[in-house]
Amino acid sequence: MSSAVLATFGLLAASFAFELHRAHGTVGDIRVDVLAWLGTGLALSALLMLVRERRADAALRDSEQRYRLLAENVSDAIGVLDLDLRYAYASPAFHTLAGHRPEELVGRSALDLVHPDDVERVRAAVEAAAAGTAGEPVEYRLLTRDGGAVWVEGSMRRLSGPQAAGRASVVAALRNVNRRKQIERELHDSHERLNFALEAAQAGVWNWDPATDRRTWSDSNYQLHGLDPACPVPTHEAWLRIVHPEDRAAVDAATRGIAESGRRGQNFEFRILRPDGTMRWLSSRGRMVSGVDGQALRISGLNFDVSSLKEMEEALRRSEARLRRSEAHLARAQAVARTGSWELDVRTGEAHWSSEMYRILDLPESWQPTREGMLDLVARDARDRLRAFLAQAEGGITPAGIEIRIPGPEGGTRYGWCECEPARSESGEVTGIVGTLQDVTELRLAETRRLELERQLQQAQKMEALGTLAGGIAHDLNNALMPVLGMTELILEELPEDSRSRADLALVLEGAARARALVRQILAFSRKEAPERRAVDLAEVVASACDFLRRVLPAAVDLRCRLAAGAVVLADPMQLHQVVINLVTNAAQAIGEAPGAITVELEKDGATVRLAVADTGPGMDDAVLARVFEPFFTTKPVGEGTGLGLAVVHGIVAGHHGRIGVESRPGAGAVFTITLPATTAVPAAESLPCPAY
Amino acid sequence: MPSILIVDDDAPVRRTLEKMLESAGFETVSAADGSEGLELFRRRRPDLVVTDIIMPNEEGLGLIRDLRSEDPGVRILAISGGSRLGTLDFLRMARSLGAADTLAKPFEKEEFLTHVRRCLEMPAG
Repeated sequence: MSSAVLATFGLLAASFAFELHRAHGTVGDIRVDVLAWLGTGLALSALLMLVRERRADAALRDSEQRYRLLAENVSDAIGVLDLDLRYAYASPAFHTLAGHRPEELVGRSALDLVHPDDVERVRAAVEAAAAGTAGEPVEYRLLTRDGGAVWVEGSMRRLSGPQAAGRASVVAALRNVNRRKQIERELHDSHERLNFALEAAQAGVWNWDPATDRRTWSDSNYQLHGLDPACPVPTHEAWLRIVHPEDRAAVDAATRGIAESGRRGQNFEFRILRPDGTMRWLSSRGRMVSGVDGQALRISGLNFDVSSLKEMEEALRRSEARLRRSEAHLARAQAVARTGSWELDVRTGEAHWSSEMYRILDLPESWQPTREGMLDLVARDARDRLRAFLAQAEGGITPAGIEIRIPGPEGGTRYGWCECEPARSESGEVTGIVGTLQDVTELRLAETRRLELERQLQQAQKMEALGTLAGGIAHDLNNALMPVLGMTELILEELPEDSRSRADLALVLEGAARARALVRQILAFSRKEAPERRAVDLAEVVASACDFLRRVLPAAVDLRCRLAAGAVVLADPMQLHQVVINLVTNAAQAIGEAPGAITVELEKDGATVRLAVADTGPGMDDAVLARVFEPFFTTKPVGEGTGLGLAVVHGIVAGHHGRIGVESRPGAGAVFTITLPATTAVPAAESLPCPAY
Repeated sequence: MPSILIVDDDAPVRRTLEKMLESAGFETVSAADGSEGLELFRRRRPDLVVTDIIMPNEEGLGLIRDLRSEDPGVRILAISGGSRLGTLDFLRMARSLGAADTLAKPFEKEEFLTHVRRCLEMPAG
């Protein structure tokens, strides 16, 4: 490497000797023997010496030139440092490297040109080289002429041969590694950024060569698994043991699937059990990495910790389940309370209804409610009130509740209680109206029934009071009339036939008789028959009722009677008469305007009398059958039936220790059957009391 | 002649009944209420008791019951101006307590005497 040649001459009595320091660092000894001739012989020898010396000089010059040429044409900067670490030589490349001209460097301390932070390392390397123990190249910052620094890799070597003792000059070859250092720095930065990203994303990188089972993990992957990065990467089997037992088979299949198919794997999620006992959810995605020749190299993959996501998913799922349960509760509560809820978007006029709204209003859920549609549903007289009600809410006021009447699709009427309030955006603008509709039809009907019962009770109490009053008056009047009537009679008996007073007393008698007749009318009004049970031939009662009914039933209804003789019961004939009237009237109303038949059948079966009333009407379903005898239950439109007819029948039959049943199904008419205990008593031959119709 | 006890709180009625009976030849005694009537019955033992039902103090139904317990064979004709009051039929009640016959006020003399004679013709008890 060295191109410098230094020679030392030693003069011996009979020869010259010198050392040749070769370019490759070895030193050759050249010895020239001189013959000590006298006279010309000396001259020849000297000449020979000169020739040899000249040859040696030429060789030396050639060598030096070659090394100099070499030193000055390589891109590395070459410097020779003397024992004081000063530049004895600097190649021109220093200029290219750091802007220093070589002649400026000669004599300068090499360490002056080293970045202060790197001086010690450089000094150590140079000292080591000088001592003949040169090691690895040292990287340091060489200060440039313009005050900057350039990263160089310096290789230091002792210039003299290894056999030389002590310190020696050092030759230093400096190579510009600025670009490499920059790439290294960028690579390091990039690596740092990647690690940061992996940590931030809670992602771990793994590589697996299934052929050799060689595996590598990023530090973040260790962290995901709760393992120390200093530990060796677990084998595939060891890693599977960390995976939750329930997920193990699927994970094994998924990872091996990538290896076998060589394709990009799908994301797969699984649980791991970390050494600290905690469970984490990982999402993994792997793919086969191939070399440039297409040869499969390894599977690389990313693990993400998705535990938080899973927790959120679970929380969301629970929340959704809770929401669904709440919705179900709300729907049930709405159904029980017969209260529907609605929202109206005041900008679009479109509305949203709860299911109960559709049920209350008997509309299919496919019906799209709108503001105008809602107004059209209610009765005309309620429309303006509903419009004003909505307008108030739209104006930001919570209106007082209103009751609206809603005509049903089949003629019935429903009553609804409406409440609402404005719904506002965050800015306070009214964007909608939210409200409720409570079906108060039953309430309204019950109220009507209650009022009717109160009216009936008041009527009954009034009649009772009037009867008591009339009875009291009648008693006193009758007593008062007694002497008027009796004494007048007695006087008339005693008066002579021609007495003029006879005619006057006859007027008194007539007046008394009129007063008596009047009192009897008052008594008839106040009379109330006590319950009566006597032997009654039911056939007579039924026949009498049917005679009456034929006169009042529609002509299209054919009333047939099949009455067995001897059906005698202990009963109040008036009440049984009422039973037949009510049952037949009910049957006729069921048949309606259409032609139909009602058959009243009476038969005696041992100790039991059976009365059946059958009709060809539309029949009843189970729901109606279950309630048919309930007071006030009616299938007739409001105002057309009191719902008391069959209840009265039931009460009368029960009062006679009898039973009543009904058989019916839709489309097959109905049969009401009454059974009463028969009696062996003989009915009195008495005409039936004429009921007051 | 048979004797008849008249029990009625209304004096004009009492007097009218006395005159009707006396005109037909019956002997009469009269009382204004049930207590007095029971007292007279004990003393005079009449053949027939004609009694009103609704009276102050001891009313007619109680008197009928007391008379029947005093003399199960007593003949009683119950009369009333308020034969029915509401659901109460006093004359039917009087009959069930043992009155032989009943008659609603006001009545004419002949009607009254017919009922009286029918009662007197009945066997005692």
